[in-house]
Amino acid sequence: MSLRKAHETLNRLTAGQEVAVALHAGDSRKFASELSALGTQAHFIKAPTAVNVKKIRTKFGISQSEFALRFGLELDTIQNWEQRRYGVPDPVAVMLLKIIEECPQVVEAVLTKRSIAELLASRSAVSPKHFPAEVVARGARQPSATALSREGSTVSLTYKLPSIVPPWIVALTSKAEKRTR
Amino acid sequence: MWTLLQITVEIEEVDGSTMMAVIQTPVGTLRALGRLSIVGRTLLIEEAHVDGLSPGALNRAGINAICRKLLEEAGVEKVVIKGSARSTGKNPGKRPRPFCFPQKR
Repeated sequence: MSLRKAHETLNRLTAGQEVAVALHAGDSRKFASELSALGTQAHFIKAPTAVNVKKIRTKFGISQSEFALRFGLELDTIQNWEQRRYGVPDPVAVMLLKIIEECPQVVEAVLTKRSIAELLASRSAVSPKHFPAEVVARGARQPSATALSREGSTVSLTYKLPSIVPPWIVALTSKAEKRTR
Repeated sequence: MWTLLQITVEIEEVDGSTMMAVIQTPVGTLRALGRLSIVGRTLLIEEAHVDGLSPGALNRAGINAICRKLLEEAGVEKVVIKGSARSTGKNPGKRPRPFCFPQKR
């Protein structure tokens, strides 16, 4: 690091900012400890290099087409990645897939233009008890008349929720409930 | 009161206007890092960071002696030191007031 860059880094650190720098250190733990003694916390950045796409998708318990739809990807791409048809995903795609694996709400918030807080709040309002329903998904079959039963002024439907409920499914479920009232 | 011979200033590293200097004093060695410029007859040191001496080791008299040495080395009539945000000492994170030598009267 040049002296000017070191000076600029020091200025930003003392001003309370976080700074990303490339440093060469033989022993990273010892280096972090030395920085800590100087009142500076160091977090090492390591970009992921490999990812198991099928493992990530099966963690959600959904099909390739739904996975592609949910996270704004192409079905062909998901299939190519899982079958390793044209090698492995590029570094940017690996990063995106790791974010989907660790924090899918971040990707969903970007795709649905909602805040993460709003996303989590809408999900906490949905419980299997409140919405026992057949999932109405785009391209999926509509609940048949035999699946619906009217009890008084409410309609009860039977359904299975995946482990994570995407916001668009929640929205559709809410619309179905409103229509039947 | 220290004499100018008791203080040495060595520029250890230079990168444009950014300089690292090692200042030897009777109470120890000081390392100073900052952006230097000469404006008229004034040596201006901005975003200054210092390290090497324990707090209070260098009192006002010591700082004045170092500044007199800087006046001699740089051939100027005035030194103004603007520190960067403090990392230790009084009010960490806050910038200290600019230091001028000779002091304004």
